[in-house]
Amino acid sequence: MRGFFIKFLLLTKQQDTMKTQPYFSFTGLFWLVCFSLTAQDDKSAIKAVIEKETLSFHKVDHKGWKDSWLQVPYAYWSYSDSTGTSFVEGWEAIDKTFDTYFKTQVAGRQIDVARQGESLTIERAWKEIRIYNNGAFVQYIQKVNDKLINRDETSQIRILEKKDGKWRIVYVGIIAKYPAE
Amino acid sequence: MLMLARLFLSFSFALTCLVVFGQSDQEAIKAVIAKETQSFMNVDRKNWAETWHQAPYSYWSYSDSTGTSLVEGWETLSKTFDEYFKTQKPSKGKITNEWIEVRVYGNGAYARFIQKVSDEIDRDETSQMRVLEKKDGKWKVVCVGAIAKYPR
Repeated sequence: MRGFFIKFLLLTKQQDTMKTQPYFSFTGLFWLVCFSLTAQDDKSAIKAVIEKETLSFHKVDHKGWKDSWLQVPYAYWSYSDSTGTSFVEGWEAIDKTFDTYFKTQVAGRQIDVARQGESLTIERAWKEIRIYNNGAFVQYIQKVNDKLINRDETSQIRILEKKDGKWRIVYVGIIAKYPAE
Repeated sequence: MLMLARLFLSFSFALTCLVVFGQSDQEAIKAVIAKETQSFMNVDRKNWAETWHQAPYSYWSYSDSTGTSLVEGWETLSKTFDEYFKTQKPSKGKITNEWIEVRVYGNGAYARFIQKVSDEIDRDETSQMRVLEKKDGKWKVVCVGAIAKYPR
């Protein structure tokens, strides 16, 4: 009787396993697809907010530019080229620093750096987008093609955070990239 | 009542774990950042290399009033500092890191700090950033950004 009971249990377990295996495989595949779709969505959203930050800056769209930042005390902006370096720490200081730019620049005026429409195109070569939960680290090379002035190619770093489902920038690092001598 | 007490205990335990792990991550991140700088200054190549996640997306940059340098990818990075590690002598400078922010995002982290290096002759201050990744339980540096900070 004991032997029969064990055999019965094993048989039932085998049948259960056969039933559950495809179920588990299907569940696993489902989560894998969901995971890669979310990662793709995140990557696209990250690229979009980076593009928005740069474009709104060049087009003197203060609201659009501000929206792309996470306005926190640890926000950071820096720019370095062969003539020197500048960096600004904290959202309040960043906003204040660029206040004059957004008030005085006129998009398309030759003496200004702001541009409208086709006079400016931005090329990006994405090098790396690393997503860690609600944080991301991005590296890319940017070339701004401006019909009026010659601009340097730059190596760019961004750190972003996802808050309330939206990716926003917390760190901008820009370094001019010169051709190797 | 017993159910409520159990719930409260579980919640307190989870919260304590979260705080403790968060803190230990922050401490481990600060330690690896300090080790990266210290081993570089001590011309200790083995320890310096160990603090890096040796990936194609590793990145190093330094900028001051005289210009900028940037290196992309671990292979290039290691090659760039080859001469430094072969020819330089250990520095006696004292290093202090003033932490501004350490953000931990699971297996990734972003840190910012002001670094002060002083010896008998000179005193340098730089605004520094790091990106780190946790791999096999260990935090390693993937991005170094340093900008000279001058008195206003």
